[in-house]
Amino acid sequence: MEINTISETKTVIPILIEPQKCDLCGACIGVCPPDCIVLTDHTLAIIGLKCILCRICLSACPVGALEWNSDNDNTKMLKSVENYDR
Amino acid sequence: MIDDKYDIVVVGGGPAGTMAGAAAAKAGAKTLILERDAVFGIPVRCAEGVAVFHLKRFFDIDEKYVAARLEGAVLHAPDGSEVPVASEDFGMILERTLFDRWLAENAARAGAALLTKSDVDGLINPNGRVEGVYFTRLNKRYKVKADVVIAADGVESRVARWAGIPTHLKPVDLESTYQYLVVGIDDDHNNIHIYLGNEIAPGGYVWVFPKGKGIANVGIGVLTKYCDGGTAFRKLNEFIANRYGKVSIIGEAAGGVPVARPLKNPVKDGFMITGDAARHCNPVSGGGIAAALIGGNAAGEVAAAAVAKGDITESALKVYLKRIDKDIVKYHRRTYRLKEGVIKLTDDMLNKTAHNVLKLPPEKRTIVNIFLRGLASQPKLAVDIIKAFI
Ligand SMILES: Cc1cc2nc3c(=O)[nH]c(=O)nc-3n(C[C@H](O)[C@H](O)[C@H](O)COP(=O)(O)OP(=O)(O)OC[C@H]3O[C@@H](n4cnc5c(N)ncnc54)[C@H](O)[C@@H]3O)c2cc1C
Ligand code: SF4
Ligand code: SF4
Repeated sequence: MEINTISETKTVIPILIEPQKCDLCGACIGVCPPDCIVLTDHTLAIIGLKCILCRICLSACPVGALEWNSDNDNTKMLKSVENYDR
Repeated sequence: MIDDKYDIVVVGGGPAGTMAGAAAAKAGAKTLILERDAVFGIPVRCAEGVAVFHLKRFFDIDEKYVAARLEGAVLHAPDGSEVPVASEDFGMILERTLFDRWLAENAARAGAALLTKSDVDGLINPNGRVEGVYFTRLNKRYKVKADVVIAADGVESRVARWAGIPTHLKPVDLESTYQYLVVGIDDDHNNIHIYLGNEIAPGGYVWVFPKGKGIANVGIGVLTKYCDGGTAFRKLNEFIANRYGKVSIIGEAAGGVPVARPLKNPVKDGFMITGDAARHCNPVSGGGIAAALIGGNAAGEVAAAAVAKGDITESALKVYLKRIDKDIVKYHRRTYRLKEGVIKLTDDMLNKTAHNVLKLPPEKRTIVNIFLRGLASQPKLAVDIIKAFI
């Protein structure tokens, strides 16, 4: 499986986006605390640099188009989600 | 022709955006609505149910976007008990494709400029003050200034974040949804049907919204908190297999519905947020069309009046909050507390509630009564909920 996650600094994160499954519905974007999921040109991408590995987007996805790639596992959340709360 | 400067730029061409644009243009503001997709109204990520009186507040209903009129609603408890619910207005099922396009037409007729395939990808905000937007259309990037930018970009709500207003939803505040347009079911098609239960749809429900005889939107919402990836899709397939067996599917879509408290402050200097982007969906039902119309209309009118007066400061734009206070802010804050109670109900409690409610005379079986009864078995919660309604 190919890693579709693009990043401004080539940071590779352990989230795989399956474009065949992704419906571009934006649910994952609505929950992403640091706002690092981008939908443009009918493509979904994650800015790896900003991702805090909280995995909330994975749960939010209705179709399971986001997958955690355990080959590249780093289960530690980088920053607490509360840092972003309103 | 795309000008360099507008009085008002609206981001997003869903019901909130087109209502805001129409209201602003009608009030005389030079208005531009930017929509990322190629056509207003496509794709549809909606079960399309709305109460008739909400639409009538704003316009005469045009039958061309009405798919079906409804007689009532039936709640299904986990054990299969069916509770017909009383209400004066169960409304109708729209053809959102045609409704959203009609709203876009309405905005155009009011004098707004509209652009499709226009993806807003940034705000002009030197020193944190919003002064316009950047967008890309057909591979060309544009910079357009505006006195007021109205963010109506739906569940994603990124535009507000660029303006420095956090809008991301907690896992307890997003319904992860999947829906099929199903043909060949022989269910009753005069009522909407809601199926509750923690096995069926944890933290949410399955809906069957008929669009005519033998055709319905059959969808599910599950609370992200109780999901791992793909839960909505899986649970919906289970429901359909159990209830209908084989059906024909002629459409499908994923979606996200904010079931949060409305944003506390959806305005700042030269900037407003409306619709799903402002988290204006009803936290219990997930319905957001009515709030998008009400909030969008108010945002457009307030923005236009502010531009006309030459005062686009946050304090001038705050009139918007007053305009939506009763219908959206207060109402949804109350409903949010109801949601907090409802998601704690076990299947057993839901079944008992259904049995209790069935003892009531039909006219007393309102949604509120039903949930109040359900929560009666949980005195602490019940007090909270009752407070929420007074
Ligand atoms: C499965 C499902 C079922 C639902 N069922 C019902 C129901 O039965 N009844 C009900 O009342 N509500 C229902 N809702 C909720 C309802 O659909 C929304 O509340 C309503 O559409 C909100 O309108 P809006 O204009 O705020 O946002 P949207 O309709 O989401 O419109 C936002 C628009 O902004 C555009 N956009 C986003 N970002 C950009 C950008 N950067 N640049 C340009 N354009 C952008 C999008 O393409 C979109 O067209 C349902 C939702 C879902 C997902
Ligand atoms: S893991 Fe968290 S931070 Fe990373 S993309 Fe998903 S929601 Fe955003
Ligand atoms: S939630 Fe899933 S289907 Fe929707 S945009 Fe995100 S990855 Fe795609």
